[in-house]
Amino acid sequence: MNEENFSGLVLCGGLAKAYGKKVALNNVNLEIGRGRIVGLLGPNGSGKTTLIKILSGILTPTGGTASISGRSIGIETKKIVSYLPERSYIDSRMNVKQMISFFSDFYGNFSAESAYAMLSDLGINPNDSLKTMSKGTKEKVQLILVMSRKAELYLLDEPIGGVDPAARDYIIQTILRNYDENASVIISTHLISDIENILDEAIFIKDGNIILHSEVDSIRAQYGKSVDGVFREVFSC
Amino acid sequence: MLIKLLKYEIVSEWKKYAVTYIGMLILAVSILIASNELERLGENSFAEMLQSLLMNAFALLSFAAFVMVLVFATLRFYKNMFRDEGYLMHTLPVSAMSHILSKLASTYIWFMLTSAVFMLSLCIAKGSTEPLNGLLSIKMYITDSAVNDGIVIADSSDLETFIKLCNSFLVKCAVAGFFTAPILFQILMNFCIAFGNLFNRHKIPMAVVTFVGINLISNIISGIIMTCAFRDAESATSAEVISMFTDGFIINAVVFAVIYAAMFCATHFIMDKKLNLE
Amino acid sequence: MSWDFNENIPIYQQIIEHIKFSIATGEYKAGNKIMPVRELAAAAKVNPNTMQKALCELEREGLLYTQRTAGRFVTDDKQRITELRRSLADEHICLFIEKMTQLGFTSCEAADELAKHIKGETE
Repeated sequence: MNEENFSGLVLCGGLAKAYGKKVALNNVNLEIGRGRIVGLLGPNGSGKTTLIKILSGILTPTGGTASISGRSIGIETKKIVSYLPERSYIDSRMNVKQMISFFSDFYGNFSAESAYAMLSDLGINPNDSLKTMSKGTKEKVQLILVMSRKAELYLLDEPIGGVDPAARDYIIQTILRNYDENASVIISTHLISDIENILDEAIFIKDGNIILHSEVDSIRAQYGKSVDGVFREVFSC
Repeated sequence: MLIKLLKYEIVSEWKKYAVTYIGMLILAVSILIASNELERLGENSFAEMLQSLLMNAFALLSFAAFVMVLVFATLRFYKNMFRDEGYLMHTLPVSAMSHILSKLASTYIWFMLTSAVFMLSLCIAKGSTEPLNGLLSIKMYITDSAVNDGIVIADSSDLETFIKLCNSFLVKCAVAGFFTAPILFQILMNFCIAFGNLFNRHKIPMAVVTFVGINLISNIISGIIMTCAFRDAESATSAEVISMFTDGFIINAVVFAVIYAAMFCATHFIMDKKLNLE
Repeated sequence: MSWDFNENIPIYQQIIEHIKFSIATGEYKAGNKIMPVRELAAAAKVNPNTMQKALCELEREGLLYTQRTAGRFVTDDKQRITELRRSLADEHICLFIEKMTQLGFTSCEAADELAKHIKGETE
C-alpha cells in the first residue's frame, strides 16, 4: 500500500486508539475508494464509532495514520466530510431555519434548497423550534442537514436506528439519490438487513480489529448467505 | 470564520443578557422615580424604605450581572466545546484557535456591554451624568503627572506622598484589572475545562482540582515574589517602599503573563491535537 | 413488477433476472429507453454500482445498448427478445420437470399432467 499512489478516498494505516488500558481500535488498515457505499458493521463497543469519530476529526488517534483524499485529518478534510453522529448535536434553542443558515455560513458545499426540499418532503416546518420536536424528527433534521452537503465523504453513524420504517425508506432513498461517483458513504449500523442491498462493501469490525472487508455480492456468493446472516454467524456469542 | 463564530456566540447568548440589562434599567428608572417622589413627599419612611430596597436590588442585580458574564462564559465553553454541541463545532472547517478567540472576544464584549449598561443605569438612577465624573477622577489618578513621577512635593509630608503614589498605583492596577480580568479569567477556566477533559473519567472533578491547584500555586508564587521584594522594607524610606512594591508587582505581572500565556497555548494544544469527545 | 430480493444470493444476478423478465414480458418495451442507473437503483433500492454491473452484463448479452448521450435502451432486435422469452421459458420448464421428478413423475407422466391441466382450463 503506497500512500503516494493511492487515488482512493480513505486511507488508514495502523490506526489505533486506546483509552488508558482499554483498546478501542487496534492496528486498523483500511482503504476505501471513491463512489462506494460501505457498511461498517459490528456489535456495540466494537470500535465502529471510534473509527468514524477519528475520521471526522473529533477524536485523535493514539497511533497510526488516517487520511481523507490524501490529506491528514484537519480543517481541509472537515470541508469535505459530512458527519452524522448518533447523538443530537444541534443547539436546541435554534429553529430549523437558523440551523440551515448556520450550515450555509460555515460550509461552502451546503445547499439550502436541498435542505428545504427534503424538509417539505418529510413534512417538517422550518420555523419549528428544535426544542419542541420529537427525537425522531430531530434525527431526520440532522440527517437532512448532513445530506444537503455536497461532501466527498459521508459518515453516518446509525442513521436509521431510531426512525420509523417509512422514514427509513426515505433515508435510504436519499442516500441513493445523492450518490456521486466521486463521493463515498460509510454507514455504521447494526440494522444490517435494512441496508445491505445498498452497500458496495461491508467491513466487519470486532474488538477494534477489522476481521472482514469485502464486496457484499462476494460475501453472498462465498457464504451463500445474506450479509446479515454472515454477520450473525461471525458475531454469535 | 472568526467573525462568523463570534456572530453565533452572540446570537446564542444574547437573550440571557438582555433580560438582565432590562432588569437593571427598570430598577434604575424605579430608583429615579422613587427619589423624585421622596423629594416631593419630604420625610416619608415608606418611600425611604422603598428607595433603599430598590437601591439594594439594583446593587445586587448589577453585581450578579458581572458575575453572570464570567459564569455563562465558562458554561458556554464547556457545553459548546466538550459536550454534544462539540460534535457540531469541532467538525466545522474552523481552527481551534478561532473557536477559542471567538469565545474570548464574545466574553469581552458582554463584559464591556454590561459595564456600559451599569454606568447608564447609574446615570438614570441619579438622574444626571454625575456618575460619569467618577470615571473622570479615575482618569485623573492615572494621568496626573505629578503623582506619577513620584516627585516629592516640598511641603507635603512623606506620608501624603506615599498615599498619593499608592492610590495612583492601585487605581492603575484596578483599571488594568478591569480591562484584562474577563479575558484572564476565561483563559484560566478554559484551561481547567480542557485539561480536565484529558482524563478518561472524572473530567469535571479534575477541572475543579486544576482550578484550585492553579489558584494555590499562583498565590504561593505571588507570596514568594512579594516577600522577596519587601526584603529590607523595615529600614527603607517611603519612596523605596513604593519602588519595592512596584518592582514586586511588575515581576508578579510578568510571571503571571507567562503562566496565562502558557495556559492559553496549552488549551489550544489540547483542543487541536488531543481532542477526545466522548 | 416490484423488486424483491433474496439477500442470500448475489444481488446483481437477481437484478439481471428481473430485468430480463421485464424485457421478456414486454414491461420494458423493445427499443424503449430505460431509467438512468441512479434512478433505477433508487427504485430497486440497491447500490448504484451493483445496478451498473448488472446493466453492463445485460449489454454484453445484447439485451440493452447504450447510446452515448441519449442513455440506455432496450434492444429493438425482436429476434433477440424472442430468444430471451424462449430461454426463460426453458428455465421454468426445467424447474417444472425437476419438481415433478422429485414428486415421482416421469417426464412423460409430467407431460400428461400438464396436458390434462391445460385441457381442464379450456373446458
